[in-house]
Amino acid sequence: MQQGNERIDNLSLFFVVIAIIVETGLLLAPRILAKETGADAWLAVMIAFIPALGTSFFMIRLGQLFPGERFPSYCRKIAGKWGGILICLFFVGYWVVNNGRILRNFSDMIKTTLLFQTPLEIIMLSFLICAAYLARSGIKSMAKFSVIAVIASVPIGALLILSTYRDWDFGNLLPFMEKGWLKVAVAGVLIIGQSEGLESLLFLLPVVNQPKKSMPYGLAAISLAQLLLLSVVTATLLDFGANQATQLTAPGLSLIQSVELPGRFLERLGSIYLTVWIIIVFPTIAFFLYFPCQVLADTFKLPEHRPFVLLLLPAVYLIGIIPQNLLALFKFSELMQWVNIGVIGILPAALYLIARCRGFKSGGKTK
Amino acid sequence: MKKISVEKKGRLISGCYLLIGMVFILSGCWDQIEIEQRSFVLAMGIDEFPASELKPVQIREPGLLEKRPRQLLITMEIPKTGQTATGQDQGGGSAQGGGENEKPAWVPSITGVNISHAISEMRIRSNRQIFLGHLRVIAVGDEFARKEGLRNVLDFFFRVPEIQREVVLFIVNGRAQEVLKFIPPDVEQAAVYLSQVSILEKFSSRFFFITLGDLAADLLEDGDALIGRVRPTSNEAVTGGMAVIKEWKLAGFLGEIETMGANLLKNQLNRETIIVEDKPNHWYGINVFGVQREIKPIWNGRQLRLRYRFITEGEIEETPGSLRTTHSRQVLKHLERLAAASLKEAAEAALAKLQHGYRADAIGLGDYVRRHWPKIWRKLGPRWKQEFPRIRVEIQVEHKIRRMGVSM
Repeated sequence: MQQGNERIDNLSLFFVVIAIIVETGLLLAPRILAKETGADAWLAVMIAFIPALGTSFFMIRLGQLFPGERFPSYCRKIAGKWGGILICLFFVGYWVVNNGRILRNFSDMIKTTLLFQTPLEIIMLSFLICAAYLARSGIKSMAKFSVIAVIASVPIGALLILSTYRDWDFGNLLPFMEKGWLKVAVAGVLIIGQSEGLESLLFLLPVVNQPKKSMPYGLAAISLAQLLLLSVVTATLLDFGANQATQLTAPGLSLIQSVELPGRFLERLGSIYLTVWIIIVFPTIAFFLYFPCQVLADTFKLPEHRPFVLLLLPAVYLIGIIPQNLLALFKFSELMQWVNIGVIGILPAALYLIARCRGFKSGGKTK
Repeated sequence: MKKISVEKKGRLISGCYLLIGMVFILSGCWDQIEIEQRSFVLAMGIDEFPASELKPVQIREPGLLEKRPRQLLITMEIPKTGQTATGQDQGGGSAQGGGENEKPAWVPSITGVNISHAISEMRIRSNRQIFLGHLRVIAVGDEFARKEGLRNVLDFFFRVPEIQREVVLFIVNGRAQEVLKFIPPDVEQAAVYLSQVSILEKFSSRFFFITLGDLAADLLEDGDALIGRVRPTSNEAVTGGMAVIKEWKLAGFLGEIETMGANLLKNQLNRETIIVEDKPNHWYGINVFGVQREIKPIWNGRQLRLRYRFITEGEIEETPGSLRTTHSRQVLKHLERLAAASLKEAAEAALAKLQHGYRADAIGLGDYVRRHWPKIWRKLGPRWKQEFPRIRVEIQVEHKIRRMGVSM
C-alpha cells in the first residue's frame, strides 16, 4: 500500500494527538505560568481548556467540511492557490522551527539530568535520526508507536505526580486571584501559545477512517492532554509554591525527582522516569518532521513524503543548535509563543469562518 | 561470475551500515562510570576556615587563585564502600582529618573560596569521581552561618542537578567538621544517623527537620527560616533545638522547649511528651498529639492582633505513685490545664524570642497573613519586617486528655 493512502482509526487519532501535545513543555509550563499568575497558575490552566477545545472544534469541523482532502488541497480552495501555498509553507516553517526548539529543550534536559558527559550534539542527532526513521515509515507506524508511547508514559507520569501528595500544602494555592482575574484570564488564553501540537488535528483528520466520528475523540484527547498539564501545574504549586516554581528551570522535572519510595530502596526515581519520558517526546519530534514533509509532498504533488525527511533533518538540527545557552533558548521559546498563538488559536478559526463565508458545506461542496 | 541482484546488493549495503553503526553503539555509554570509580559523598560540612590558619600560597601559577580573603572549610563524609560491605577495618585511607581510623568512612576536609572550588581541589586529591547524587546531609557550622550566611553556599546545592531536594540541612552548634567525624552508636556514618533522625518527627517536637527543598521555599520567601540544630558532644550528636535564620544568616538558636513552641505555632507539632508537676516532686508525663490550630486576625486598619487558638489531644503516659490518681475527673481537668499552660508557655517563649530577641519571622507568619488575608497584607506587607515585632499575639491552648493508657 502506498504510504500516501494510509489511514488510521479514531482511537489511534486519540492517542496520536496526546502523544504529539505531551512533550517537554509540560515540565517547563509551571515556571512560566507561576511567573505570570503566581498561585493562580492552576486557574489559568482551567481557563485554557476553553480556547484549546474551541480551536480543536474549528479544526475538526474544517476537516469534516472537506472529508478525505488533505490540508494543502482544501487550503487552496479556501484561501486561493497562492494563499494556500503560502499558508502551507508557513506551516512548514512553523514545524521546523518548533521541532528544533523542542529537540533542543529536551536534549538540554537530558544533558542536565541524565547524560552529563554526552555532547549535546550527539543527543540531538541520535534523537533526530531515530525520529526521522519513524517519520519515514508513515502515519500508520507512527500511530502505533504513539499508542505504545502514551500507554507506557502517561499513566506512570500521572501516578508519579500523584505520589507527591504527601508534600502537598494547599495553602500554596492562596491567595486566590492575587493578581486579579484579568491577568489570570489572559494567561489562560495565552497558554494556547505553549500547546504546540494542537494544530495536528488539521493534518490528521484527512487520514482518519471515519472523520465524521472524530469530534469526540479529538476533543477527548485535547482534554486529557490539558488535564495532564493541569495536574503537573497544580501538583508543582502544591509541592513547591509559586515562588519556588519560578526559580526552577523545569519545575515538573524537579517535582518528579522529589518522588520517594518508602524505604528508599529505589533512589533517583526522576532519572528512571526521564528515560520513560523520552518515549513520549519521540512522537512529537517525529510528527513535527512528518507533517512538513507530507505538506511539502502534497503542495508539490509528489507521491512520497520520504525524500523531504532527510532534507529537513539538517534544518531542524541547525535551529536546535542555534541558541547559545538556556536563556537564549527560553527567549526563543517566548518569541515562538506568539507565532504559536497565531497558528493554533487564530488560523484554524479564520480558515473555518472564511470557508463558511465562501459557502463551503460538508463534503467540500459550495452552495 | 554470478551477478548479485539489486535487492541483495541493497541488503548487503544496509548490513555494512549496520555493522559500522554498531561500532558506535556497542562501544559503551559516554557517561559510564563504574560504581567502584565513584566516591559517594553522604554528608558535607561547611565551616569557616580561621584567617589565622591561612597559609601563604605555596604554588604560583598563572590563573591560580591567589587572593583568598575568606576560605571555607568543606568536610565530606565518604564511606569506604569495601569496608562497609565486609565490616572489616582496612585502616588508613585518610590523608587529612585523622582520628577516624575506626570509622568506615573517609572524612577529608579541604579549603576553598566557595564549594565549587573546594570540590575541584578535592577532585585532584581523590582517585575516584566525587559523586553528590547520594548526598543526604548538609551541616553548617554556626560561626560560618552567623558571619557569612547561607545565601552563597546554598546556591550550589539548589543548582547542581544531581543533588536531591530531600537532602537534610542542619546548623551545628559548633563546628560541622566535628559532627561529620562523629561515630554513631548503631550505624556507620554520621550522615546515615542524621538523615534517619527524621523518624523522630513522629515522636518528638523538640526537634526540627527540614529538607533542602522546603528550606528553599522558606528562604526564597523572605530570607527567614528555621533549621534543625545539632549539638555535638564528646560522644553524641544531639539533634534537639532550632537555628533561627534571619535574612539568610544565623540569628541564634531556640532551645528544645522553645522548639516545641515554634512547632506548635507552625502547626507542625506531631507528638510530644510534656512533663508537668501538680505539686512539688509530683511529676506527670502527658503525651500531646492531634493539634488543631485556628488563627483569627483583629485588624483596626493600623495594628494587627492575632489570636491563636489550639485544641490539642493527648493521653497520660505516667503518673506519680498510685494508679488510681487518674480516676478523678477533677485530677484530669487539672492535668489538662497544666498541660495547656505548659504548651502555651512554650509557644509564648518561642514567639517572644523570634519577635523581640531575633526580630525574625522564621515561623512564616507574614506568609500566612499574605495567603489568608491579602487585604491586610497589602497594608502591612511592604513594611512587614518592622511590623512583625509589633504584632500582638494572643495564644489560647485547650488540652483534652482522651486516654489513660492500658491501666486506669
